This record gives sequence, structure tokens and C-alpha cells, in this order.
Amino acid sequence: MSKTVINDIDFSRYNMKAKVKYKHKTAKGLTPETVEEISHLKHEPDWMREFRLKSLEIYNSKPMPEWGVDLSGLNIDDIVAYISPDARKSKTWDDVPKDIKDTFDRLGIPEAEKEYLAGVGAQFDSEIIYHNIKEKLSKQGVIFEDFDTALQKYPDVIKKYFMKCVPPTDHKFAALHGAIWSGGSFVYVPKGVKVDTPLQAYFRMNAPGSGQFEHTLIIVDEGADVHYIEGCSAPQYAVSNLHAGCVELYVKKGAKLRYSTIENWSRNTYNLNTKRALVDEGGSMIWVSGSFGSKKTMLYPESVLRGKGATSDFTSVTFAGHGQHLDTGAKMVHLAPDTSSKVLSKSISKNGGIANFRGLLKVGPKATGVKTTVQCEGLMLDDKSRNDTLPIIEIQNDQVDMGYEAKVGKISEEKIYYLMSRGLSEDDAKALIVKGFVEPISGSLPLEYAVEMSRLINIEMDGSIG
Amino acid sequence: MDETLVKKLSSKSTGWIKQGRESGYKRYKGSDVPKWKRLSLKDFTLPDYKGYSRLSITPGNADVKDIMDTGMQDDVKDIIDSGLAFGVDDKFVSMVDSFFNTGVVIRPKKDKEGKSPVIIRYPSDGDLILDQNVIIAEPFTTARIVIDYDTLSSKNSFHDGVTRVLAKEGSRVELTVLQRLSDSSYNFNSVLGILEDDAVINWSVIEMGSRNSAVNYTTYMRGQGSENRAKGAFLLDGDRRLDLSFKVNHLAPHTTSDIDIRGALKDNSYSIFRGDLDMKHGAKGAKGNESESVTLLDKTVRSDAIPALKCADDDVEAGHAASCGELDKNVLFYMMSRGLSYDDARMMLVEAGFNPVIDALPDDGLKNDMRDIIKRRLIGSEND
Repeated sequence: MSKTVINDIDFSRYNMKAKVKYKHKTAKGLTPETVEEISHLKHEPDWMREFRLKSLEIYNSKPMPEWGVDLSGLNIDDIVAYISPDARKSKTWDDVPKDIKDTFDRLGIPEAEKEYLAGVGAQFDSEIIYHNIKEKLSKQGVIFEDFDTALQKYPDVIKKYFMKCVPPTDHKFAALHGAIWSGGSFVYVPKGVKVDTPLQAYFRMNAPGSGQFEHTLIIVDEGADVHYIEGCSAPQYAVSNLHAGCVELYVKKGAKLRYSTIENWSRNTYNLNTKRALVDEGGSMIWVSGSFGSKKTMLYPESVLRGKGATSDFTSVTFAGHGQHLDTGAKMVHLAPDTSSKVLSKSISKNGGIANFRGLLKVGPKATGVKTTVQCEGLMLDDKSRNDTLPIIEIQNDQVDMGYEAKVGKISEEKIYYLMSRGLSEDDAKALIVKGFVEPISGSLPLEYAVEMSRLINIEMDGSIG
Repeated sequence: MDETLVKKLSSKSTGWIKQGRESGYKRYKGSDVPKWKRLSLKDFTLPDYKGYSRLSITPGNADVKDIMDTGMQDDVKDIIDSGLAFGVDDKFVSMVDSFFNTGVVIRPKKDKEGKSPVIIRYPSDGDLILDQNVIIAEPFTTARIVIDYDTLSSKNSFHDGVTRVLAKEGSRVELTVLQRLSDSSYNFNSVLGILEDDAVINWSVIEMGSRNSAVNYTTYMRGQGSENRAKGAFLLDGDRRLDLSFKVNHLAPHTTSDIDIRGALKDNSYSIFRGDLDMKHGAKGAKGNESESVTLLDKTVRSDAIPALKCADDDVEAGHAASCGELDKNVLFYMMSRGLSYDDARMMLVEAGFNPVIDALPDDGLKNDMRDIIKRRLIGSEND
């Protein structure tokens, strides 16, 4: 029986390399001077400068992680920590320098904004170059600012929340982030405000051998509701790039936050990202995550359900192709009664790619009445690839309803046989099954992103299904 | 336990058994007592060496020799010296390899019936049991073997055992291991299975005793079409802690494995289940499955599950499932409405989960013993 051909991701759209003038560029490597220089260029308050230096100390004191992906090819001393394009933050695309605007035009960002987004932030290397939000929302008190501006405009709020959810002591790359973070977004949705169209941030790494360390902080106040979308890409270079962002999410009482990510870093990128949400009483945190790019990824979004009745859903698709090792997963920590969580992870590995699911499900002693399910499915498309599932489940009281299930295999012959008995050709049947496999995630994205995703998993079909 | 002791022990033996103890001691000396994150060995001290003399053997349908009497034959040497990674930790495996004070070599006979079981008993009255067991099943032999770590008194025992099983072509080994040592004992048990073409090894694991117990079953499915099934049951009460792990390596085409573990936790007990299915490249047509289901009977229990699934070939089917929760209140209510007491209803439900394992015991006396233990544990101690 022939194998279904599933194309690798078509990179041409992401691979343009803009020739951009840079205003500032720190020297390679990581020293207290680099950190001071970044802080100085950004005119930051003293506490932030000290925070950065302290984080650098923590970074230097922590060993490299010995589990997960092989990080021996990553040399932090070869990475340029801070590189800012010669462009001012703009509120209209017309003010963005042409080379940079061309890049985002080709990624389709300005067009998407016009059609269906409530606000857009665009980051080029270390700095945000465009940030805008619809007037109607800013009148309702919704704040959507780039992080540096937010630090100047709302220093007290930032000081109160910055790296409290993910402290620099969390792990080595959180400390690295604390030392040299730059750019990112700050979102605040006031009590009871429901934002009906999504906000989007797009992160683009353009310079070779650089790092991107954007910080995202979202506070969804009581009863509010927002959908935030994050996209990332970079052109392919021979040298390694590093992405170590940090996402901190606060979901207050009865609030709802949907956080969607389509990650498509180039295959020279190390993606070591940290994402965590603290969810209060009755709050709801929904993660939708598609990991397609990067050379190595370690990414485990975490929901800490600390308020009674808080819920969290996590849905992800990971596609590991040639030369990729994508170690992804989810952490669900239940600390309060009547909390519930649901994890659905799908991974596809082909052409020597390695896809891992690594998860933590923890139910604390006080979290009674918890309902939780974890479901992992792996699809192997050839015998050169690997697919590993490595969850940890810890239950610390008896009033818990926990179910966990994992399956790995190839496309089942019975399914193909059944579909063929209904009149489909073998190729059509296989293509339909692969489409069905990723449906749970493409179905939970807005239509335009679902289209984007099908483009990423460009399923080659000889037939006419689709 | 030190070098002088190894010299003394090995001076009594000759040839390979002497070298085996000495090379085992090198590994033992070179490793520290593991610092486990979950089953912490914080207050653990290594025991003093003592001899052991309570071994009793019912040979059944096999040729069984006391390892202390028999010289080590070449094939026994080869399997002990196989270098395959297995066991709870090499500190505990090498402790047995260098200091074993008891053990058996079992060679099943050819018998179409295969009915009379081999029963090996290691009763303990505060003893130190370091047992080195080897089971070699020649092609097309069949054996049902029970190893019973039993207790005679409530004195503290220390058990560290190693059992290595080689199942040659077409043979079938059914091994049941019962652990019911006294309440404050330490139990470590490392079991290795090697399967050749079309061989079958079935493990039945019953863990009821000891304060701290760490048990590992590792199989290498080298032969095409070989099968490895594991059934396990544990019932923990008081402050008991159990770390039960299985590792199955699928190395050959059309190998099949299945792990099915049932457990119940009471009081402050804590169980850790690890299941590791490793489908190696080339294991075409392999099937692996594991499931664990734990019933939680008290608020203060803790249950961890770490089921790992590794796949390096596409033509395999692998799955695992874990679940845990309370007994279903509707079912309890129904049973009580039919006149059963709460305790009886609860016991019946827990026992129902264990029945597949208990029914597989080849000896009626043992079956009754197990049912009694479950009854005593669930009803005897306290009512809540």
C-alpha cells in the first residue's frame, strides 16, 4: 500500500529576508554591560534595570536543562540579544518603513487587521514597529500597548504583575528572558468588557544570529472576555536563532481568555518559550496551539487553576518534519475545588522528525471534585520518525475523576478500507483521515487561521476532496 | 555489607560464581543509594548482612535447585552477565549480585499439561532476604511459577530480590510474584524477562505488604511473535508506599505486550505507577497496550502515574490509558439498596477489580489468602 504524501511546510512565503537598517545592535553574548545597555536604550526605571541584572545572575547560576531536546548546538554567546530596527512605533502602516511593511504585507497582517481583527501589534526583531487598536475598544477602556510603552505609561501595574506568574527563578530560560526581554504586548480588558473580534500580535525575527525575547502580559478583569492570537515566523539562516519569550496571563473571576498561537519559526530557531496562566474563580482559559516550525522547541503552556470552578482547555497540533525535534505539551495544575481541565494533543511526525508530548497533570490535596481528561494522539507517517508521549499524573485526594488516554500509530488500514468501501479512492481516504486528525484544532481557530493552518499542513491530494 | 564480606562469601564458591560476586561488588561500591523523588529513601539505612535459611521449594513441573547448593552453570552465568539494563536501581541489583544469601535456578520441563505449579516461598521472620533467581525455559517448555514473599511475624524484614527469566523459542512462563511482607518492611524487587521467538511471559504481580516497596519488571522482546502480558493488583493502606514500574522493549516484529494494573488506595497510602512502552525501530506490526486504574478510598491518599509511550516505527499500534477516581456512588447506592452493608458493597467493588489477577493464581490456598487480606484491609481496620 502506498503512503500518503504530505508535503513539508511551504516556507517560501516566510523566507523573505528584508534588508533593514538597524539603529542599535548589542554585541554578541551576554554580559551585565549588554543588559545595562538594553535598559539604558529603553529609558527604563531603575527597578527594571535591577530586575534585569538580578535575572542575569540567576541565569548564570542555573545549569542547562538535561532533559527534553538537545541544546548542545545552542551557543548563547553567539546570539545577539538586542537588535532594533531603525523605525519608530507607528499607529498606521503608512508610517512603517517600506522594507518592514513589505514583509508584513506579504505575511498578510495589515489586510487581516482591516478585515477581522480588533487590534494588531507587530514586532520586528527586538522592537515593536506597529501597534494599533480599534477606537471603539480603547473607548471601552481596553488597553493594548507594546510592552515598552506600557512600562512608561502604567509603571505601577507592570511592576505589580511583571514576571510574578513566571518568575526568573522558574528555569534557566525564564531567567534569560528576565535579563534581556524586549518588546511584546500588554493587554488589559476592564471588568465585563467582551471583545468580540480577536487581538493579534505578530512576531518576526529578521536578523541572522539574533534572539527574540518578547514579553506578553494579559490581564482579563472580572467577567471580561477576549481572544488573543499570536503568530511568529522568521526566514531561514545557517546560524542559530533563539526565541525565549514569556507569556503571563491573569484570568480574573468569571473572565474568559482564549490564547491562540500559530508558531512557524524557521528551522534554525531554538524555541524555548514559557507560557503560564493564573485562573481565578469561575475563570476560563483556553489554549489553542499549533507548532510547525523551529529546529528545537520546548514549550509547555501551563494553567494554574487556583479559583473555585476555574476551567482550562488545551488543544494542540504539533507537526515535526525533517531535522525537527518538537517537545511540547501542557501542564494543568488544579489547586481549587470543582476545577476542570481538558487536554487534547495531536502530533504528526514525518521524515525523521521527533514529536514529543510531555505533560503534567497535578491535583492538589484541596482540589476536590476535579474533573480532568488528557488525550494524546500521535500519527507516524514513516518509520524514520519518532513519537513519544511522556505524561506525569499526580493526584493528591480521592474526589477526582481523571481519565488519560494516549495512542500512537499509523493511519489505520481499517479506516482506509471502510472509506474505500464507501467509494473513495485510497489516496482520498488517507488525505481525508489526516485532515480529520487535525480537525479539532483547525476547527477551534477563526476561519482565516484555519485556512492558514491547512496551508501549513499542505496536504497533497490527488483527488478532489477538500 | 563490604569487601571483606564479599571475599568471605566468594571464598566459599568457585569459578564464575566467585567472579560474579566480585564484579557485582564493583558495581555495588560504585553506586550510591538512589535519591528518588517520589518514593523517598530518606531514612533508609542499608541492613547488616545475615544468612537466610527458610527457603521452601515445591518443584512441581520443573527442575528446581537451590542456588547456594548448585554450582553456577554456563547458561546461568550468561543470563546474569547479560548486561541488560533493568531493575529498580543498579544499587539494589548489584547488592543481590554480590551478596545474595538465597535463590533458585528453575528449569521447566516439557509437559503438555503444565499444570502442577512451581511454588517458591521466602517466608520472613525479620529476615534479610537477598534472593538471586534464574528461570531458564528451554524451547517449548511450559511452567507456572509462584514466588511468595510471605511474613511469619510483624518483625521488620528487608527484601531485595532479582529474578531473571529467559524464555527460549516457543516456551511459556507464567510467573506470579506475591509480596506480603510485614507492615514496616522494605521491599525491592527487580525482574528481567528476555523473550526469544514466539515465547510468552506472563507476569502476575500482587503487592500487598511492606511499608516501602519498589518493584520493576523489564522485558526485552527479542524474538519475533513473542508476547508479554502483565497483570497487577495492589491494595495499600496505612502509610504504605509503592513504586511499581514496567518497561517493555519491543525489539522484534509482531511482538505483543499488554499491561493491566488495578489498585486501591486507603488511609495515607501513596502509589506510583510507571509504564514504559518502547517500540524500537524495526518492530513492525508490534502491538503494545497499558492501562492502570486506581480506586481512591480516602481523601488523604496520593496516586501518581507516569505512563510513557515511545515509538520509533510507524507500523505499530500502541496505546495507554490511566484513570483514577472514587467508587461510583450510584453503584454503591444500588448495592446497598439490595441489602448489602456499605463495607460489603465497597469490598465487593474493589475485589471485582482484583479478580482477574487473583483468579490467575495457580493455587486455591493462595487465592483464599488474597481474598482474606483484601477483606481484612477494607473492613478490619477502621470504619469511615
